Amino acid sequence: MHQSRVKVDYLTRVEGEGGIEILLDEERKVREIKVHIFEPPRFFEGILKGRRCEEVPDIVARICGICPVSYQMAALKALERILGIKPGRQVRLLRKVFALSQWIQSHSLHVFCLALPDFLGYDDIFQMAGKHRDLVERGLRLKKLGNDITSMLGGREVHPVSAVLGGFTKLPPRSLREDLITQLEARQEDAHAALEFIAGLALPAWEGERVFGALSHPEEYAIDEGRWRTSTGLSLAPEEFPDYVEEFQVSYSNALRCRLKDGPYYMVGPLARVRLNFEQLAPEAQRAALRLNLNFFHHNPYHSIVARLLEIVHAIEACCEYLEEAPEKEETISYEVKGGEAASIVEAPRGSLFHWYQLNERGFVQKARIIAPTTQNLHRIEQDLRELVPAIAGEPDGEIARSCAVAVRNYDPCISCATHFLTKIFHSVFSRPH
Amino acid sequence: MKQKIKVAVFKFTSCSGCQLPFLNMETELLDLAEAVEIACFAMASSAVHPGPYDVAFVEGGISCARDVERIKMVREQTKILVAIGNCAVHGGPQALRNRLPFDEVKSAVYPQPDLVEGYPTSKGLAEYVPVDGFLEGCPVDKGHLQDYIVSVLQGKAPEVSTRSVCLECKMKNNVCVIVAEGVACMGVVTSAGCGALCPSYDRGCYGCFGPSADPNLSAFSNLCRELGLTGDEVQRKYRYIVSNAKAFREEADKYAPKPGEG
Ligand code: SF4
Ligand code: SF4
Ligand code: SF4
Repeated sequence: MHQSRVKVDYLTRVEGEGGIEILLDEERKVREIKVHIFEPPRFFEGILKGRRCEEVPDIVARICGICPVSYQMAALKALERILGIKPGRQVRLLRKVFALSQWIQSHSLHVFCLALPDFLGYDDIFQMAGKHRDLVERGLRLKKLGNDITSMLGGREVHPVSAVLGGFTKLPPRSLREDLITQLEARQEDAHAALEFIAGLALPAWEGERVFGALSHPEEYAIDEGRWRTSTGLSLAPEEFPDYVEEFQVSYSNALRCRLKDGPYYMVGPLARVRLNFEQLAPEAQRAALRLNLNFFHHNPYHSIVARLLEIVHAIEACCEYLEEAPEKEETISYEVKGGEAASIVEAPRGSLFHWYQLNERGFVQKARIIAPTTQNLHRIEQDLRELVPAIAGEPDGEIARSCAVAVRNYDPCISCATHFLTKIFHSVFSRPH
Repeated sequence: MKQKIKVAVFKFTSCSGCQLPFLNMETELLDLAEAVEIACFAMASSAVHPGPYDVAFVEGGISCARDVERIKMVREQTKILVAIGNCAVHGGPQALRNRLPFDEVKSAVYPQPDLVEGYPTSKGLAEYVPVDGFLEGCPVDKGHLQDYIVSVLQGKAPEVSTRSVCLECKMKNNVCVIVAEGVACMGVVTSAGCGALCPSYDRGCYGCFGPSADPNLSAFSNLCRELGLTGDEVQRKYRYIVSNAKAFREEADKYAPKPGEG
């Protein structure tokens, strides 16, 4: 046999631009695995410098069109910490609804439009709609639900406009919030039916262990408050995150990535959250998991798709609860601009999102640091490929390429989010010959 | 049966917020897929068909040599090339770097800035290739994309609004935030299209649909000054989300930058 190069030139059904390249030798041994990220960097930390604190949420939203709300929330949390702003209960609960609406939208996008075609053998949702019309329609209804809530609170689906320091510029009247609850309740059936379908899928098997990381809170399924925990027992306040999570460069690659100082690879995202915070899931989601015999206490990354659906079930119930509990009126918040620095972590749909800002005494950004979920997962994604490829190296090249694309897509990578971070166009993982 | 028109969607330097609206057409998405042939849309489908395409919707600005090469290829393969959103029309939020020292911008993100590839500028597609249609917005409006496709299907020239956000705002009977709150709302000089979203949410417009046709920017700048904004604050209004739109850029350049506070 000849040496062969297996390539995915352009990853499809992911956000952003990337590809995979694998080099196998004559004996089908892995010589090299490269994940190419050719998305050009957009330098957000650089352009944030010199902006006033009030401007930051509009700017950071534009890092990602799929999870702008998460970027806005993370920035607001950190900046409010610097300025000493403590939003009241109404704002805190409605922000959670806002953030969860993003999970519903982003998760349904990934499950139905991006990932499910892999497991059912189609190129896309359009093809899939032929045989699975009901399922596709359920998925699109769920996606619309997420978008409708984002729009109602924020004005529009992508880059909403209402979230500012201290709260929202304007909130929908009580009657509209009640309509939302009705809509949410009406969609729960779609979520359960889809969960049941997905729980029955034959997902690829996986051996090998992994470390999970997510925000955790004793009283709620953490979205924007709590400590960042790992399955190996770390428990960090947001400010401590950079002390334990290290951005690094390696000799064979100029790209920065993230690793834990006490054991390199870790995974963030829905599977990590469900695993670490199962007990805080809404009762309905926990019951569904038990009824369907879902087990998240293993290390199989492919179960992310099940975790996403379970989080949709959870988010629907939690949104209803928060909308009901949110008090009607809140005092307006006033603040004085001052300097300082602070960090925040929120759970974006794809996992933990870290922000840190330093403001001068006039409220201008001196320094900013943003670590996206995909940046954190990248190292683990490559490790997944390294563990996966040897087991399937005997298969035809096309099949290897397909399996690798499925494995990468499984993380729902958001390459635009990750590339204000990657230094070089080609990002190689395993370039030393064995 | 008549041949379906072949539609493609491409991404350049961007956040995906302008291609996402296609998938956000939840209730019309399957109809759309029946009405046209979605020949290439990498974020949505693994079925990637080669050109030529009847219409290509292009998201993203041009910020590196690879972008230039690709947009030329897309241009060659496409009859009607439509720039969708701020990035593709003007260069996007990342064009803020165009007026900053690129080395400093790079080193704010990267420990080894020399390794970073890419141009010191991000620009709209039309700086590099001829473009047939422009849809403003950051993000582009889903309704505008739909209208564009419908016009092409009907063989009509798509309508482009030349109005400002103010007109939409008045049609909605909003209370003007300039008058009521003394907020320097950019709706006066910004293209219509969003339905006066920000004023409807009690905040001033920040210009995300780019400058309207023939905006009277010096009058708006004077208004800002009357409302108490410093020269630096006026400049930052234009150097914001759509900083590289020609009219905004030129007005901003009238205010000399102050060191350390760009
Ligand atoms: S124009 Fe705005 S929304 Fe569209 S891709 Fe660029 S940054 Fe994203
Ligand atoms: S609020 Fe803004 S958009 Fe509305 S009328 Fe006043 S200036 Fe124009
Ligand atoms: S009001 Fe202005 S900033 Fe707000 S969405 Fe419309 S164009 Fe964009």
